[in-house]
Amino acid sequence: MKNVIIGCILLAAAMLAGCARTPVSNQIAYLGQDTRGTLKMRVTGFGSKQIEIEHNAQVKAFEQLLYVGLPDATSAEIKNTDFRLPMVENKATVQGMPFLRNFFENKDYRRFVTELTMLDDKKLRASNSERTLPFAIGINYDAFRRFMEQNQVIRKFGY
Amino acid sequence: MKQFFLLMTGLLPLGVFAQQVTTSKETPAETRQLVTRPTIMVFPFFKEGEDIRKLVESDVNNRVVITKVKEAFDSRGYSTVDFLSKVRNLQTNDALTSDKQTDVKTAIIQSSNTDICVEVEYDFEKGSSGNRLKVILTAYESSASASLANKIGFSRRMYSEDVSKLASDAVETVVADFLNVMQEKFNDIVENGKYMALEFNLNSDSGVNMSSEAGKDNLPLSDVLEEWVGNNSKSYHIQGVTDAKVLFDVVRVPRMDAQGKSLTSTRYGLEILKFCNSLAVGSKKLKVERLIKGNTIYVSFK
Repeated sequence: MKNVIIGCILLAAAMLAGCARTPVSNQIAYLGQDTRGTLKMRVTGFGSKQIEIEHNAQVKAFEQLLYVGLPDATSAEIKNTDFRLPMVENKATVQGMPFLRNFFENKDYRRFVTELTMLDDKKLRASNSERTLPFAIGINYDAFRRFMEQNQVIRKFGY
Repeated sequence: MKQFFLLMTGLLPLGVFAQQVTTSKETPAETRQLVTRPTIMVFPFFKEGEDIRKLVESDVNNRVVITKVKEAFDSRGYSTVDFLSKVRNLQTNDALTSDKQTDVKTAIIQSSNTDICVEVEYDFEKGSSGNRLKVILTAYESSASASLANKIGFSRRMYSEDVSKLASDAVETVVADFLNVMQEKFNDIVENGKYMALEFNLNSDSGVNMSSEAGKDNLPLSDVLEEWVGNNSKSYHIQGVTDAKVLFDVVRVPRMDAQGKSLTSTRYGLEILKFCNSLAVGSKKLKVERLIKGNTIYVSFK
């Protein structure tokens, strides 16, 4: 009986520990456009160090544009649908491309980041070792699209 | 040694087969390569009987809306066919005479051989809380009239009578998404083939009709043609079959042939010509002539 109770306690502890490691969902939202061809978005990054959190937030921002799009791109006055559709039609066809892997791993995406501002300096705890931070990230969208076209990640306009 | 040669002889056909499979299938990287750049023309919406040249030349707002849309294409590295110069070229043609106004749009599209047409329309709305402008953008494939993208954009409400400023504002809100939707349809073309239309008809002195038995299996000519189209396209739709005509209003043709070259309407037309010339009705060998306008192929049995 004693062994059963100890077993149950250990199992419950393991389950709780598993729950604690679940990362909080990344919040991504459209913030606006300073000029045509650029956009600003709010992204929450997570990681154990500041540099990791920043990297995670930026990767999330570019992945959102590539694979998901920003359907909530609505400003106060008019609806902006420029980023509604993802740049890549089928994620599976490009995900394994060495170019894209290098683009994110070597932090080449920084060339297209026009702004990286921390929106809150208070880190929220995501798990025992990980914290989250929200950022405002500005992206030179037109240049990013052209770069992806040149490297055949997305098709040029046409068929 | 003998066994080694036997083994090699046995493996050789497998190697050849493997080569065929790899060359006939497009890799993802090849799929992303552009094979053709469709010609696109942007022009204003016009009603029946309207003088299209006057419509553009006398209305600066129309020109602003058209220019804004063309600018968006330019920003994607794409040049469009200039509509106004096409109309001016057509002026020498009978198509612009007043009694033939209804045919002007078709005449312009056919003379420019444009693959994709983009129609723009605007509507100026006055209101107590400010004026605003509505733009309607419509893109369609010229031969099959397949819709590619449709968008309605609104400008912000402003206390301004400057229609061109409002037009510019209205176009900017939707044009990027309009192009993105068009690109999605282009991706569908890459996957499912480009649009063409086919029309088979008979010359008055041809001596055959679409029910005449032709080909090896002595099937009606219309069925022989349908079978060929079915085998040489990704999909098709027949608009109608009569004794004198077979109309395929939509034929989805692969954008590349087996050698990886662009399969244009002229080259596809040539394949049809070769096939039709190989047919015979009884002892009479069939002869055809073809006419190609844009992506529409007309084949007449002589």
